[in-house]
Amino acid sequence: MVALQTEGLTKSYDGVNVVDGIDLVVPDRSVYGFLGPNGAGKTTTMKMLLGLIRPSAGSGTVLGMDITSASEDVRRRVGYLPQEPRFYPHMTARETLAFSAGFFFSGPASRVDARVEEMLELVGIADRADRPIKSFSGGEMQRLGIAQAQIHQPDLLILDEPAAALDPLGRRDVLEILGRLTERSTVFYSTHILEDVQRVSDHVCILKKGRVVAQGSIDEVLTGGADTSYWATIVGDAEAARARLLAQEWVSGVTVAEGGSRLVVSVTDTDAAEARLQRLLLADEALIVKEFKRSSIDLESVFVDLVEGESE
Amino acid sequence: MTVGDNALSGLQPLRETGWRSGLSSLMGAGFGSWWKTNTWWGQALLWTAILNGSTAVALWGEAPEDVSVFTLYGVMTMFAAIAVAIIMQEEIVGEKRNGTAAWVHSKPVSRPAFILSKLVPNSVGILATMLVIPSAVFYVQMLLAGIEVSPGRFALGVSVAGLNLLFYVTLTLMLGTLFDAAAAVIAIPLAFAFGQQLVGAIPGLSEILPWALVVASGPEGGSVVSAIIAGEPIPAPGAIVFAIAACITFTVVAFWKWNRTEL
Repeated sequence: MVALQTEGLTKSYDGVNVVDGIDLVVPDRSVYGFLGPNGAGKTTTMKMLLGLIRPSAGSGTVLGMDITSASEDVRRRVGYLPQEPRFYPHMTARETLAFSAGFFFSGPASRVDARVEEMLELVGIADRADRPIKSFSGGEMQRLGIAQAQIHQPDLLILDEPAAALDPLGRRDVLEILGRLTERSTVFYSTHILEDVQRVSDHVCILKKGRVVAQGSIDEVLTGGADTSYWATIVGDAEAARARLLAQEWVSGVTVAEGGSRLVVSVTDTDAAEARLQRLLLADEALIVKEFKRSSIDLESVFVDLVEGESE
Repeated sequence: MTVGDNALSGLQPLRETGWRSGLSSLMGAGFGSWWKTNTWWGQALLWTAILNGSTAVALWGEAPEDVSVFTLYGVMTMFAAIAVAIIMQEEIVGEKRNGTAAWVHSKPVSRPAFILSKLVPNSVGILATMLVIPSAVFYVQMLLAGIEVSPGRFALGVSVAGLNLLFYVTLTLMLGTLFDAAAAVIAIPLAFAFGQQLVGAIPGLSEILPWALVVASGPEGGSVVSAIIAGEPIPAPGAIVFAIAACITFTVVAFWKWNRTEL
């Protein structure tokens, strides 16, 4: 099932496309990282999904509802954290959450208060709940922003740079909170902190100058659609090992390198490889496996390649 | 702490739809900003001191004999109108600039509900604290001074003074939707308020501009408000029609523009 989908979504200002025909597919219950350099169109896209900005062309659905004709219904089931969250400064954190809750549900004051308290504790600002938020730090504001976005237990969270401007501990805490929220919600979030994306996301989209340059599961984006590969440092008959591995239907290629001391194995089925590849090598008593590792590709290098490479 | 499946048990989803989406919550916040803070009594105290202090001097002190207390009352409400522009200047522009408007509209809130939540609570707060309370004190002052005034005529006069305030409330609100800078939102109403004295010299205009509601519209005439309270012929009835039409026009433009504003 798809939580969010766009087709040719475009936004133009004075004839310049700041979002240029993007097709997004965000699977239900995924943690979807929306990456791109500053000015790539991430915030504009998010605002179009929420009906804050009208698309110039294209269409989109959120939880099966059209983003233009059913915008209010969309917002009923979505929680949004703006890039630099700003709330009414005369309100306390508790009042801000109660104010937010008032847009979604009503009921006994004790139940509303309990829900507000639950959110304050979730984001760790219960001890500052009755302080006017004009005295809040950036990190506290971010936490409050997450709490107000989650107050109505939305099916989809749209978070614009949730960990930006936070110190490493603040970032860690926010990512931990995000992890807890995914128990029930799809999380679609923008960021430029690639390390965080690789840590918490299962899907990713890279945007450049308003266009999608890569999209898919983290593995797909990291490998650029190519097969996943593993490498092993061995002592023994590399050619015999190569022949045995090639007999597996999920192995697409084996390269013998470094004078026969290294095998590089490309696979089409990562799950099968994770479960069986190392065992296969170890099962050969004539072969000593000194080291075994999945080839790791850093998201940062993929990002830099995609964003800088295409501009050359 | 986890986000459990029954986290919202015992709570009912709100059923506000269409233009009413988010209205009750926004109205609650709007009225709360007046009545749950120091704002209401601060404004009430200030305007009671200004308006009733001035009229007390006219009633019991040494005031020029050619200035009636009713005329003075009208003129003092004009100062309140200028204050309205100052109070209202940040209502829309400030929220556009600091992002709270975008945040509020990321909730299930209709555009008309947002404008209504600025128009209604501010109008009620302004009229109550800057006009009704000081006017009630003024009525008591007149009774104490032995000046008989029909309660009906006085209420009508206060309503016309209120119309003048609403003219500036709706004008400032509309300008907030049209401009992104607070300077324009405050400068235009102030220029309009004071400029009416100048353009009033143009024949015919002095009798339709809102200035005539509370300030003498000609060398020999009094204001609409003072004439109504004193039971005299209304000198510039066109000003009432103009102000009502302008309030409606400004409000319609504010709704129209806000509906098209990208946040």
